Amino acid sequence: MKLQRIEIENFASYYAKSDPIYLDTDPKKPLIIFIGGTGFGKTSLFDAINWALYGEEYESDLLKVKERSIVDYLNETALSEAANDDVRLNMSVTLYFEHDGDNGLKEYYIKQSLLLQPKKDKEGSISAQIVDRNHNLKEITPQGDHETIPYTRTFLDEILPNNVKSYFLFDGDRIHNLAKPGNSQEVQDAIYRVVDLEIVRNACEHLQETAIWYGKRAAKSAKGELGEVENAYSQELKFQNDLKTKIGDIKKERQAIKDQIELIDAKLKDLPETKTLQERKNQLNKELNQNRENQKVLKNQMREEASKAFLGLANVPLKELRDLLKEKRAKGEIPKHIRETFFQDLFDQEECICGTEFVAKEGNPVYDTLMIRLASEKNRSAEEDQLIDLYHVLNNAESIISNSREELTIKEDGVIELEKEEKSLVYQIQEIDAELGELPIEDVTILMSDRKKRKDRDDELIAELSTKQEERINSEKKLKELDDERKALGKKQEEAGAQHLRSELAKQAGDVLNTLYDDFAEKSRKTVEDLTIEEFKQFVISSSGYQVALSKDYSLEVLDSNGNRALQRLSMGQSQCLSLAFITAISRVSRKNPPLVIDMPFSRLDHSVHAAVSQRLPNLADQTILFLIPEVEWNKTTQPNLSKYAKHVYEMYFDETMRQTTITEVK
Amino acid sequence: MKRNNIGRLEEVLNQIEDEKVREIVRGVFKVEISYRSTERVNFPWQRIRDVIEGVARTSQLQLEDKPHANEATKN
Repeated sequence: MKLQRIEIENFASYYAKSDPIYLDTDPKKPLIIFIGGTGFGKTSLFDAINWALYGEEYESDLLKVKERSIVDYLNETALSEAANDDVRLNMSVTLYFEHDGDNGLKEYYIKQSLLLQPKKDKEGSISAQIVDRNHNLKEITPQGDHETIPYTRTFLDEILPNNVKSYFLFDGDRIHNLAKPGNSQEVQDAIYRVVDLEIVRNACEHLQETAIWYGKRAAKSAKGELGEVENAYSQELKFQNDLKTKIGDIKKERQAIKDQIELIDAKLKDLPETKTLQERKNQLNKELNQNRENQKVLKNQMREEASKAFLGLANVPLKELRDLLKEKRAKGEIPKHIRETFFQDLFDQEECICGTEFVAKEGNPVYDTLMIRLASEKNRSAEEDQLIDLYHVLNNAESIISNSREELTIKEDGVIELEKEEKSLVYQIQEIDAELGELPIEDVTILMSDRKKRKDRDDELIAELSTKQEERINSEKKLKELDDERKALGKKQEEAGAQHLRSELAKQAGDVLNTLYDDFAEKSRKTVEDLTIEEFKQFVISSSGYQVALSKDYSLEVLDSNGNRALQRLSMGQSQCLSLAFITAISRVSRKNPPLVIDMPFSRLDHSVHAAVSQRLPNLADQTILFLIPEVEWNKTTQPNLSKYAKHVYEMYFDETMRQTTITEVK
Repeated sequence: MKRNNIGRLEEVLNQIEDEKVREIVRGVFKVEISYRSTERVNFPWQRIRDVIEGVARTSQLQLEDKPHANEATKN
């Protein structure tokens, strides 16, 4: 199947009837690229392709997965206009494609359309109701006639079965999930569905059920002893089938437990790393707090120094004041009065400056005279002392200002250094937080106890499986005995014999298929494994050190050069490339040769693998349609690799006012 | 059977030696392929029985033909 073009009408952000969007490719240019930002209508186009092909089945998927009804996809502007004009409106998608069926290459188109009636409620909000729906599948004959062919599941199964479409029409999330540890059920499911193991397994089961059905009919037709044997045979056959189902269920439960244990082991493996990172983060937080404390102290000191250094601004008036004081001092205006210490010195010496000796006691005339003078002079020299002190302070001010400026510079450098250190610490903590975000933060004890519970259940299942397998062997023996007996008796009654024959044929076919199933499954597994290995090597050069394997129970496994399991250690980019390699492998094994439609293939990919993936994408399928985000996915690395293989490159524009998408081809 | 439908399943059929069994399996594969879908309801059991019936009748006819052939040889 190869898509040719799509026409959209009033679907999501695509208003009115769009011009045809051409999707044709050729072997040299197998890519179609749509470039558009988030919300520009890429996923709506992806949904439109799905809806055109699968109609109501896809509508059920939309409800389940996106919780959106198909009516929600009706274009807002078109609905509003129709409501105002009170007319019905159409929403439709028409997909033209070629398919190389058993009658050679033919052209078809498939159209899904809804006729809708707008409705306004009392609050004025507008909704729509489906009035009619149509799906048309037509073949365009070489003469140009459009011949209707029945829109059946059989036809769609032939071109691209719905149950496998998610492995060909897929988004970045699916790529992200496939190679995660513990996802073997998803991988197994992909192989079952895409490479037809599911068909063989179901055919096996249905043949066995049919054998029972004929057995019961034979029992009804038979009489007497034969009737009893037929009944016994029928019951034993049913018992054996129940056993097979039970054994299958046990195996499935064991697989689920194995996945859960693997997931726990992966978490346990990462926990020491979490612990180390947490310890490092605590240490860095401590250093950060100390750094901020040191900054606070330095800034306080700077404030003090700054107040001194700012005195420099008053340098001129201070100099004038100092000169004034100096002049007054020289003139003897300061100090003008006799100081108290001078009198104290005379009292200590008991001798006046005139040479008169006296006793420094009350009653002595010299002493009393001096005391009276002292009283008159007391406190009169205090202001003068302050002026003299000020004079000395002003003399030192210049050196104080200069020292403060130097101190301020040193402390400012200190703060800058601390701020740099703070930034680096914050960055390191953010880095650790990002790493921690990707690692489990769980309690080892709980995980270990959880693991033990699951392991115990697995042991129980192993025991149960062994019992059931033994019962099955015994049942097989009993069935053989009963079959011999009923054959002998059955010859007596023709009708019962005829039913025997049918029962036996169905059982024989079921048994043969059962035997072949294991070989077929193993061969399919091996082929998918070989192709996955080959593709993975093409995607990532750094994968050469790893050995990829698809285990017997369908787990994608990666071993390092020492043979240790390394799936958990793959980088996000490597594991997503492994998923892409796997999808490509099953696509090839399926031989269905469908187009690959990938919504945002690079969105979760590490930029380092953009080059490798973009070089590989053109070779994945005969036709690959990519929906890419500008810059993030359509960038300097991917653009040169993809554009030379692109038949059409479209840019998507979104008019926010009109809420409409327009698509323009880039020439 | 349509060429594109059978795909890899041909490998399984080629390994079945008994012609009757091979025909049954081929027929059942056809039924399974046309039924393949996400909704597993109303499985067409009658179509499976029709496949068995067809092969069984051919076998019965062959069995009935053998005595006639023997009689013809006698005559």
